[in-house]
Amino acid sequence: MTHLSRRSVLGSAAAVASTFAVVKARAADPIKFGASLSLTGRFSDSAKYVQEGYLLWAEQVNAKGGIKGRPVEVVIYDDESKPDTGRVLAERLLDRDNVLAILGPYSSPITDAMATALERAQVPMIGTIASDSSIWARRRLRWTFQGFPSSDFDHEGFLKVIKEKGQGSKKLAIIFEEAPFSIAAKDWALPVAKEMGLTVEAFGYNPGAQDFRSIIERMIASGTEMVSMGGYYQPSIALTRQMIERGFNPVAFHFIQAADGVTKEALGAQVEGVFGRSSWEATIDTPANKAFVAAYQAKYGRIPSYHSAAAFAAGQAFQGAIEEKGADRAGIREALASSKIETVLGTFHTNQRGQQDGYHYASTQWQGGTSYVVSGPSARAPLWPKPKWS
Amino acid sequence: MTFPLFLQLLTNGLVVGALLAIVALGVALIFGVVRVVNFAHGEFVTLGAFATYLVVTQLNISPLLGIPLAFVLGAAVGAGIQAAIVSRAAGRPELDVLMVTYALSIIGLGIFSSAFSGDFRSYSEGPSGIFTLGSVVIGLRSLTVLLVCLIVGVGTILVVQRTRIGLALRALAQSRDSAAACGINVPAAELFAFALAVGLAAAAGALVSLIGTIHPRVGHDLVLDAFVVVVLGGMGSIGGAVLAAIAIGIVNAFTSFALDDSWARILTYCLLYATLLLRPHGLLGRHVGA
Repeated sequence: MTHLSRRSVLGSAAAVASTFAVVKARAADPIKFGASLSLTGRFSDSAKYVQEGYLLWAEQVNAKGGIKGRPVEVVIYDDESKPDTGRVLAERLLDRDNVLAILGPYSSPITDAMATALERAQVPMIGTIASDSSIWARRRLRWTFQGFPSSDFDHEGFLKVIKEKGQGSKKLAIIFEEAPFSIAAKDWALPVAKEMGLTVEAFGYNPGAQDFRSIIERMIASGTEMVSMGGYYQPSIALTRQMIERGFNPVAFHFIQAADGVTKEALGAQVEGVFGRSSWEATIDTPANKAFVAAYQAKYGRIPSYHSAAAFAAGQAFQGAIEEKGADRAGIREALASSKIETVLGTFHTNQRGQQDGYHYASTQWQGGTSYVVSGPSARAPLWPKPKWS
Repeated sequence: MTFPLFLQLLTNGLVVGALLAIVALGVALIFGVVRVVNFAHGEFVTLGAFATYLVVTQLNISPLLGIPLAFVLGAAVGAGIQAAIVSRAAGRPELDVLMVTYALSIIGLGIFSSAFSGDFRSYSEGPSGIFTLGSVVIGLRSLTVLLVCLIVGVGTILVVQRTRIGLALRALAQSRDSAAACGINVPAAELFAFALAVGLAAAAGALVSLIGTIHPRVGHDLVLDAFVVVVLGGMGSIGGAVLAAIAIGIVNAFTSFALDDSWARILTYCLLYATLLLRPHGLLGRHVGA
C-alpha cells in the first residue's frame, strides 16, 4: 500500500497541480471531484486522454467562475489499470479526500469494481468510459450512471445505414462474442433488424477465438449479404482477414471498433468501405463540440480523442446536475437519474437502471484512407456497396 | 454437405492444424528429450510474433523474411535459457522444474506487457490475394502458413530421424542414463533440443503475426491447445503431436461449421478425455510399464 500511495501521488501530481493553479486564488470552498485513472499499466495510453478531458473541463469551469460560484477541484490517483486498486482508491477518495462525487475511471472492469464501493457509500459516479451495459444489468446500481454510449447500441448505426441505403440487400449476419456486452448488443439488434424486414442469422464465438473460417463458410452457404461483427478488435481483424482470404465479399461489412486508426494499419487498402461506429468525432458540427475541440487543441496542441470528449462530457453532466439540484450527493443522483443534460457527447440521459440511453453511436466508414461519420446531419454519404476486396 | 464444401473445410482445418502442429512439435521435443513440461512455450511464440512485427514495421522487411529471423532469434534465446536456467534445475524434483518454466512464462508475459502494452497490433505487409484450386479458395497468407509449416515440420522430423544429432535426441528420449553411458554429450543434446523447440515456437509466432493479431498473450492462448495435442499424440512423441494437431484442426473446422465454436471445444476435450481413458500413452506414445 505504501508503494501504491507513492505511485499514486506521483501519478496524480501533475493533474492536481494544474487544477490547483487554476483555483488557487479562490479556493475557499471548492467542489471536489475524485477520479481513479489508469496512469500506468495496460490502459495508460488511452487513460491519459481521459485525464486531459477532466482537467480541461475543470479549467474551463473555473475560468468561468465555477459552478454556482464555487471552483472545481479534481483529485486524481493512479489505479495502475487494476480493478482492485480502483476499488481501494474509491474508498481513499471518499475517506481521505472527502470528494463529493467520482468522475469515472478508464474501462468497464474498473468502473464495475469501483461501483460496489460507491454503492455502499452512496456517492454518485459517472462511468465515463464504460460501454459495457451489463455492469448495470447484473445488479441494481443506484449511484453509478453510464456516461458512454451503451454497448447495447453497437449495431444501431449500421442498421440505420442499411435502412437508408441497403435496398435490395436482405440477408444480414450478426457475429457476436459469447460475452455479456456482445450478447446484449446482438439481442438488441435482432428484433430491430427483423422489423426492418431483414433475414438475420447470429453466429457466436468463444472469447479469444482466432479462427472464423467455419463461420465464414456458414455465411457463404446461407447467402449472407451484410455482416455486422460485434466483438473486440482482435477477433474482428482476424475475421476480416479470413473473409478477405476466403474471397467472401459482402455488400457491406461493419465491425464495432473499425473506426480506430489502427484498423487502417492492420488492413491496409482493404479497409476501404468498412463501416464502424464512433461514440464521438471531432468533426461533429455543433457549436458546443467545435468550442470543445478548439479549447482542447489550444491546450494540448492536437485533436482530442473520444476518451477526452467523454471525460469532458462527464464533467458537464455533473455540472448540469449540480446546477439543477445543488452540490449535494442525493440531489446529484436524482438529476443524473432523471434529467436531460446537454454535453459534447450528446444529451446525457439514463434509463431506470442507470444505463445510458441518451448518447448514441454515429456510424462511420473508411473512405479514401480516412474514417468519416456517415450518419447524422453533418455526415458524408456512405459508400454502398462496399468496394470489393481484391 | 457438398463435396466442394467438404474440401474447403478440410483445407481450413489443415491450416489451423499445421500451425498448431509446429507449436506442439516444440512442446513434445522439450518434454521428450529434456523431460520438462515447458509452460513458457507460449511466450516464445509471442517472442516470434513481436519480433516479426518489429522487423516488418520498423525495418520495412518482408514478414516472409521475419520467419527465419524469428526462428534464429528463438533458437538463440532458447539456447540461452536452457544453458542459464533450465539445465541448472535438472535433477531437482519435477515440481521445481515445472515452477521454473511457469516463472519464465510469467516473466515473459510481464516483459511483453511492459514493452508493448496490452494493445493489439498487426500489419498489412506481406502476401495478399487468394489462390484457387478447383472450388477450394485459400488466401496466400494461409497458404504461406501451410507451406512453411510443412517445410518446417518435415525438416524437424528429418533432423530427428535422419541425422546424428537426431539419433542422440532419440536415444536421450528413450533413456538418459543409457545415452550418457554410450558417450552422448547429454547437455549439448539437450541444449540443441531446447533451442530447436524454441526456434519452432518463434517461427510459429511469426506465422501467427501473418494471419492474426499480436498481443502479449497471443502465444499463451495458443499453447494451451498445443498441450492438449501433445497429450493426445503421446507425451514426447513428435509424430503423434503432428498427427493429433492436424486431427484437431480438421475436427474443429467441421464441428464449428456443423454446430458452433463452443461445441468444437467441447468435442476436443471429450477426445482428450477418451484418449486418456482408452490410450493413456496417447495415439503414438509408447506405453511405459510400471
